[in-house]
Amino acid sequence: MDDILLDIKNLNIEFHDHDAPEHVVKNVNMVLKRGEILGIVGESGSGKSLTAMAIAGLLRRHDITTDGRIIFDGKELLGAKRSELRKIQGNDIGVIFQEPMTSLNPTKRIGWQVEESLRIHRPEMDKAQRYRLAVESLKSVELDEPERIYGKYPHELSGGMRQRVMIASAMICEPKLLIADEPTTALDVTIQMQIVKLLQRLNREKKTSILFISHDLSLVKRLCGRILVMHDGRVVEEGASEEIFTDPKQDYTRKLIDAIPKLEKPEI
Amino acid sequence: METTNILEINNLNVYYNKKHHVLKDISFSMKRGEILGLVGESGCGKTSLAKAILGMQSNYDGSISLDCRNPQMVFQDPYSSLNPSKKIGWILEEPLRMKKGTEKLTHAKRQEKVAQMLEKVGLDIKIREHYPSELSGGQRQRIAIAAALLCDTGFLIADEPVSALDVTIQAQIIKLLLQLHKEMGLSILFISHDLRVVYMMCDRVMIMRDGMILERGCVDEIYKNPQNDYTKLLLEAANIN
Ligand SMILES: Nc1ncnc2c1ncn2[C@@H]1O[C@H](COP(=O)(O)OP(=O)(O)OP(=O)(O)O)[C@@H](O)[C@H]1O
Ligand SMILES: Nc1ncnc2c1ncn2[C@@H]1O[C@H](COP(=O)(O)OP(=O)(O)OP(=O)(O)O)[C@@H](O)[C@H]1O
Ligand SMILES: [Mg+2]
Ligand SMILES: [Mg+2]
Repeated sequence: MDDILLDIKNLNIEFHDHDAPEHVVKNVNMVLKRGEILGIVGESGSGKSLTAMAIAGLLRRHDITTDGRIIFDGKELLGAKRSELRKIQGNDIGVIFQEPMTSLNPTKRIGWQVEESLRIHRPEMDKAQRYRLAVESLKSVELDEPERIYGKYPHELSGGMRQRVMIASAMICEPKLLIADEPTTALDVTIQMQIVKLLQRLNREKKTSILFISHDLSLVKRLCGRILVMHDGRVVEEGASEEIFTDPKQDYTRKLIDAIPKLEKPEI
Repeated sequence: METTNILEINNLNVYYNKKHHVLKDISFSMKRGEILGLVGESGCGKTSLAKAILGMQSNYDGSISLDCRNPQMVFQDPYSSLNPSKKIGWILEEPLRMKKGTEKLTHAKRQEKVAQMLEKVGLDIKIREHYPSELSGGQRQRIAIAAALLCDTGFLIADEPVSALDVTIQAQIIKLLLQLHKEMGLSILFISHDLRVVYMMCDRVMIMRDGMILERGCVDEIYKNPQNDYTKLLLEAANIN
């Protein structure tokens, strides 16, 4: 088997929903090996989430043009049929979205949402099996009393609890690729550490490849072997984590590293 | 120099659906012009406390007195606080349009103020033409900050306001808030999981868990010499000390 799970070639994303077209992702190339954890860091608005959505097949709209190639597990995704994509979404590719509230359904209970991918991709499972897995999954993301959380609605949870629900639903089918877009922004540092360990365990035991998008550079450094740096729609630098941190080649990367918060009061 | 408290909370208890006792006997105060940090476990009640201060909790007892005309909040989840059917330009101008009488602003003046604020939060002016759904996570977060600051408020609750920003823009927003604090005496209740950002921003900090305040004091002192085990755990996990 090919050891490359995801191969993106010359990805371009352009919006046509305004007077002038907006070219927001520009010639992005990236390769993710099986079992690898790749970090993406970069400027806010530089195209990280859109790249992730393109991989997950979520940019199929008449006012968005995407071109280039996204080859996942040997299949070309950009041109794939919708039915083809649906087989992959939630099953082979799991996505933890940046803003839980925009992707959780406010009218459905948490349990129903966590089980969604199971209902679609594991039709052989019965209700009791799904329940067991969902509760297990909620427990694995450090939610106390998962049985209670199962019956709640999204608005009844805190920001960090909703974020963990997203993580639980993205992982439930044990995807080959987990795209984690800012998965720990609403978590306190101790729970954050537990989630990082969970991702590492998943990666080690199930060989899950992870695309980890984050503004938290020290977290990225700890978790990812390789890092991509994005700025203004482009990948401006790429390399082994150690290298990027100790010997950044690009000005923007250097600026980022210099801006990592330190324990000191800024001068005003 | 004024030394009155802008916020005073005594024995506050908040409940959800009668059974769930989410905030347990919370008491604290904030001086005018102070930046107070609020740190704590995910789900411990920080956002619930913020909402209580703004009068958004119906089931509570105890007293909350906020001595400020036009308090503002930057919500943890900016998407839900921005009107999805309006363009960013409209959303940002809204508080300026509300100004009446001698404070009334012309269209040109409003546009100018919006443009200045966008620059301060590091956004291109073109963004005025976008709808909230057409922004990145960090762009939305900055719009929520800009909208709150355009209200000329004296008291701001910022619930994880920089969590979706890259570190360079994060530094810019921290400076902006500290400047407003210094120049206009803005008081801020600053909720964050990032202990370094809290250190940069705050004079005092409160550590919360399970609906209670476990420890409070000067940021310097608490970081150097934490008393509570949970505080120690947090500092350790953040690699401080
Ligand atoms: N529907 C849309 N129409 C036009 N432009 C859009 C639309 N959606 C997103 N954009 C633009 O695309 C760019 C990239 O957005 P993206 O969400 O990928 O950024 P990001 O790198 O994830 O940023 P952040 O770190 O802030 O989340 C942004 O400048 C954004 O304004
Ligand atoms: N509207 C609601 N109805 C019922 N329960 C709620 C509601 N809002 C919050 N809760 C519960 O109250 C508790 C505290 O939630 P809150 O949002 O205040 O936490 P938080 O400290 O802000 O956490 P985070 O850091 O994860 O954002 C949680 O157990 C949550 O499930
Ligand atoms: Mg994003
Ligand atoms: Mg919260």
